Amino acid sequence: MDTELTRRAVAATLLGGVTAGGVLSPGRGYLERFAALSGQSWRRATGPRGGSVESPYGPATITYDEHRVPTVEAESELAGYFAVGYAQGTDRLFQMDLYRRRMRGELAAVVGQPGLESDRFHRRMDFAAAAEATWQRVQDTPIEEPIKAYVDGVNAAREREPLPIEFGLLNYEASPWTPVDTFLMEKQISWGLTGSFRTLRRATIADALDDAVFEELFPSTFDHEAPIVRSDIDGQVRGRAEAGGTPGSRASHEATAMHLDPETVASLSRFAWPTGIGSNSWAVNGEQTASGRGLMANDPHLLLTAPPLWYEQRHAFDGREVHGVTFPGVPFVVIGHNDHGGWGVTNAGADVIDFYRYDTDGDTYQYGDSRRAFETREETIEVAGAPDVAVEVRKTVHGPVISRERETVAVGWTGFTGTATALAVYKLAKSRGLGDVEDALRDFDLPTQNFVYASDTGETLYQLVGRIPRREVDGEPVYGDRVFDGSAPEGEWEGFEPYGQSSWDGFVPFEEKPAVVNPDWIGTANQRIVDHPKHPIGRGYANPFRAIRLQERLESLVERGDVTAAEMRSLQRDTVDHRARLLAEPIRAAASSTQAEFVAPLAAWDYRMDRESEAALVFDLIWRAYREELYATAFAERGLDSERYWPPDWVTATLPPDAAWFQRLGRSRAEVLRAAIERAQKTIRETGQQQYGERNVVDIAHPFEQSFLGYRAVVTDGSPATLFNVRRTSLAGSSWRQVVAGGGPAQGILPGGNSGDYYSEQYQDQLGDWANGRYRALVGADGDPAVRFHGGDSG
Amino acid sequence: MAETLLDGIRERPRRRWLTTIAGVLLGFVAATMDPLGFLLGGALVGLPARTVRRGLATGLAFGLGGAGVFLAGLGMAGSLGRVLATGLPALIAVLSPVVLGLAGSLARAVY
Repeated sequence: MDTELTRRAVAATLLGGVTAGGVLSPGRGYLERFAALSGQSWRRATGPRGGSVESPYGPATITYDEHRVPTVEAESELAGYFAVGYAQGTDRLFQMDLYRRRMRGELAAVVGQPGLESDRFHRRMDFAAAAEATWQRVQDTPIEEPIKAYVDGVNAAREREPLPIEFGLLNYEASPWTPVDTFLMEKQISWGLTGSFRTLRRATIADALDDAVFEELFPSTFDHEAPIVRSDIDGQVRGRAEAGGTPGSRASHEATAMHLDPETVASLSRFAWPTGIGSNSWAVNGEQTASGRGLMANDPHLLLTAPPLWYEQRHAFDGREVHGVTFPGVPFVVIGHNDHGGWGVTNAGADVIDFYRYDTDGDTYQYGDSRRAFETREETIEVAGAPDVAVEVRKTVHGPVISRERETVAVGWTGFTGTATALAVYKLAKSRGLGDVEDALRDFDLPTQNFVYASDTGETLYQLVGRIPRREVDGEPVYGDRVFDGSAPEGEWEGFEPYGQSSWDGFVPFEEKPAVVNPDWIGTANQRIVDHPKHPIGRGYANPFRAIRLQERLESLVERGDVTAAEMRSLQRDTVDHRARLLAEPIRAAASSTQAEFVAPLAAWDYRMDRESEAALVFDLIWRAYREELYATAFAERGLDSERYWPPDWVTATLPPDAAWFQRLGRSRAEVLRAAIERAQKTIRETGQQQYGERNVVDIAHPFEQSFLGYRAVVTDGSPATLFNVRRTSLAGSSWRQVVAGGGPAQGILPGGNSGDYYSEQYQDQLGDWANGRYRALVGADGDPAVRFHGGDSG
Repeated sequence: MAETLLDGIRERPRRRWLTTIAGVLLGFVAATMDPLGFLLGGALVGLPARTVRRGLATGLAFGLGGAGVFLAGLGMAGSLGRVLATGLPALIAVLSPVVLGLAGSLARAVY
């Protein structure tokens, strides 16, 4: 009897314990996420539902091709954009939710403490209010209703389709998508491209180095002959100064008059994209092509993530076929082509962000003749698994405030106001040629981009787009690469209303921005735009290695004539590294007798950073070691610990033997190069590597940092300085490659897959082709639609 | 001593089988809605068993069946490999029906 009772007691205790573990946290949380059959992480494992879907906007279909690129066909525009929303909401919902959370400062609510610093920064910048102002800006314009239809489509997918695995892993549900969320996506990419702390970084570096060294290592402009608008360019040129050079060209770092803590600036830089992010885009006029159609190519070098930053889609409604890529969360094709032409963008390096210091006591600040209180409010950040955290959001008349200890600066950025870029992009899809495109670009407020277009009738266009502030100090135009005295006030932007609607009155007029109508060819790679612009534009241009190579090859092709799309693709795959052209010979000359054999492969090298190349491996190792030898210790000794403070690569590659920096180091260039070679030899001895491909491995991660969600590692060609572009250390590179002949045919490729669904066959199906420089034809999908929309009144 | 409902089921093979099958079906339906459905299912299939040992074996079999149904479904959907690649989450998924089914069947030792 006692034994029976004991057995029952033990069994009851075990049963109760398991039941309690299944009901109470954390056991309950694990089971909810991962249990067989009901686990949230497995909801999507059996694929999306698709099928028949009710739409208030009328009939439409989504047909996917073998790479899960949707072709949306609809009887009306609104029915079409509802379907586009449904497609994106099905394929990329977690990515969309993650990005809006980042921009709203709501990451910590799902990822806990690791998201807290990001949330603090994004709350203080108040991107949400800027997106709200942007949504207000485009209401009562032709895109208001399409955006509402798109948002309804996203929410239909959110409610109807099984949620992606990430929601299960993090154990939360997606809240409804809103139009403001769509504009947060615009703010995110614009911040990434133009939200630079370069001004603060330069001020910090100038503070740490003596003037001669600073001027040598951080020149305002790079000395090269390959600006976008070259002096010998044909076509109708706009935005170039007639004579006397550009106003406001004097150096301005001395004017900052502010000590900035390097650690503070470095920590802020974590919320900007890595330096050196760039892109290639070019166009060849129909008079120079074999087909008579204009040719254009574009490959934006953005962050490489799983899934990719871009979502590829094709629309066939409203009398237009449009094919290209957009950012998930944005309904309109950003880079692509329609029946009449193709377009693309590269970052312009224009300066659209300023910083202002104040005479302040902490609560108030001097502004002209008056004393003003900071506009202040407190917000609460929810943190998963920890108590809520309060954050103070402060603003001045110029914009949001960043405060660290005793330092206070306000940030003025053209994205902190209502912008109409989405309207411009919408109009591009409907364009029927050059005139329509130029008209559309007038609304392209943000980000500042080099826009390139080629039409089916052979026309070409280069236009700098985006609002560019004009600043004055003491009545003189100046560049924005200084910290302005906000109390004076100086350098203010006329017609700019932070978090409201701006008139843009004091900004560079559209007609005075650099542009070339119908050039024979145009080549952009984030380099200096024009030698003497009519107005100061900026100085944040990229190293010109890619630009030099691009223009050299384009010029040669056009001289020969009858240029083809295949040659454009070949150019996009070009792996010649101009850094190597500049440095290979000095390396060989500096090598000691014991190092000669090691550097011998550089002698007969074609400077191509190809995976099977031994010379490319040797150069890559020496290049990295050379930078380390030049800057690591010396900059750290000056308080500049982060690699972000190191000089641009153009300076490193062209630093002459008699440079002041070598005197400061107390070593000759040859000695530094020999030390770099020695380090490279040591690496080879340790790793046994024989070819560049053993180092040039791209391992694209998922933002959630679960290894199984990341892509498989792939070997590829190219370097940060080649047209076939990859930055394996900062995980950036060609985020989309596109070559278009007028209104088609077109080819493209994504670094991964179009589906963001981990379980999908198309999660990373394009990765190998991307790494190997292959393309897909950008054509519409045929076959049976995966989703049919019915109902509504046809919009 | 009067015969209880459970005794009646346990003593009659036909009732026992019918109740067990009903338990399996109910358990699976519940498990698609909540992980504790496996616990419930384990109890429902374990209680009709004639002995405690058989009850536990039936609960274990129910749990193994749950894991099998889960894996078979993924296999048919073509996503089994990707689920297994998740590592620990996949292990939890496979073990959860087995552990919960067996635990549920402990009810046989109590009643």
